[in-house]
Amino acid sequence: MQRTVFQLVILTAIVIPTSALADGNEDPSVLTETPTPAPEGEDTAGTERWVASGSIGRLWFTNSNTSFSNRATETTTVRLEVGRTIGRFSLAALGQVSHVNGEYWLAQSGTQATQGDSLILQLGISGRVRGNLGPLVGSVYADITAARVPLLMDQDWYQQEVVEESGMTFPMHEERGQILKHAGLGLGGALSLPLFDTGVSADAMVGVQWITGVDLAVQTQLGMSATF
Amino acid sequence: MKSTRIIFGVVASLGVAFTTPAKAGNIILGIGNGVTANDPFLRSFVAPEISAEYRFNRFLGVSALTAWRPSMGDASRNALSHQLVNEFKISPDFSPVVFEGRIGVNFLPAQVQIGEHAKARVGVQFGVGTAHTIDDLEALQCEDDPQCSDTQKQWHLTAFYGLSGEVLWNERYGMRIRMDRVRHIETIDSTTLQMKTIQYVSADFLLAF
Repeated sequence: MQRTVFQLVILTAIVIPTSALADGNEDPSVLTETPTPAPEGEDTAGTERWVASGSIGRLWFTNSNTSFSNRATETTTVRLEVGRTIGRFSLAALGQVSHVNGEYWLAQSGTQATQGDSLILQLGISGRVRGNLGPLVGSVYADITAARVPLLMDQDWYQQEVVEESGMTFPMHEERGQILKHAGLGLGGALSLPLFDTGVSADAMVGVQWITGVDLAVQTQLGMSATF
Repeated sequence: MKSTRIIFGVVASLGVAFTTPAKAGNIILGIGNGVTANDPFLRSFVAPEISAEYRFNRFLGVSALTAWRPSMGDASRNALSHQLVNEFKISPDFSPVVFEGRIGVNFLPAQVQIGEHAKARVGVQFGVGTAHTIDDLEALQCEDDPQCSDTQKQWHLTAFYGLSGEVLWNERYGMRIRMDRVRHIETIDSTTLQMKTIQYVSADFLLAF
């Protein structure tokens, strides 16, 4: 509850003052030597720009794959993208970190031995196609990532107590020396509200994220993006 | 002791801020102090921090921040912790973050002019980082347990998001307040994992180059 309120305060603090105060009457002597970027919703066909975005949200696991998601009570995902846009298309490097609050390993049941709280790290690329939707900018995206769910507890303890004692198999976590075990595929759409002439927009994203060996999840994110 | 450290930190920050030559530009250095706002077992203590930010334009920047959060041992525990440990022999999760680093992207679309030269901005930031924790084994009551001491000192990957507000009162100097929520997963006694969300509030003096 507290986290939700905090996120709402952040977005409210950005959107309301911007709409009320961004009148273009600004002192050029205070850190304003660089030119104002083009508005997000402007038709920029053929124009190549950098784009950066950041967002906070969560993965809603669908319980379709493993017993992992039955015990994932809360997830927080921070998503960062940096890339290039050409007209309506963009291609960006994507990094995504998800902290999954899971149940204590002793309470688990199912087929897959998990450690409880888990970290999901994803690194990959994301492609996006944008179009104007009245005052908003709509987009669809697809991303592909390499994913890790590293083992955070002592590996010997995990092997002896969590895997062997429980009789469960198919551990999802990377073992010592193992770099990658999973891949991620994401598809979804986003709505962006350009914040006047700032080049910054407030974004809302909804999509699905399938991480092999983990689960299929619905992903919701709120954040901001900017072209420059 | 605590107030002395605060005064020292503020005076040192002011000294650096007003003696460093600088001109208006896109590199902004910050120096200040932060506190942990939501730890139920530990006192908020002074945490000096330094940040550097490169702004591509008025509304977008990338930044790096380091913070040192010195552990003061027994003095770091609050009244509740003392009661739990000393009277009830219960071990709360004492695993303070002693060092932290963050890199992130900052969006500052909300701006307002104040007077002739000053300007206020509000923004959000998202990013990742690292945190170094040192478990208080005395409070955890497992000083002689090798399993416990194996994970006493750890580095964690963190992810954060937050809100910042700054006032630049001329082209060189300013002040910023940040509120960040930083998440990591702690390993205690080698076997118990605990996700932590720590809320930091910090105030920095800014220098623009």
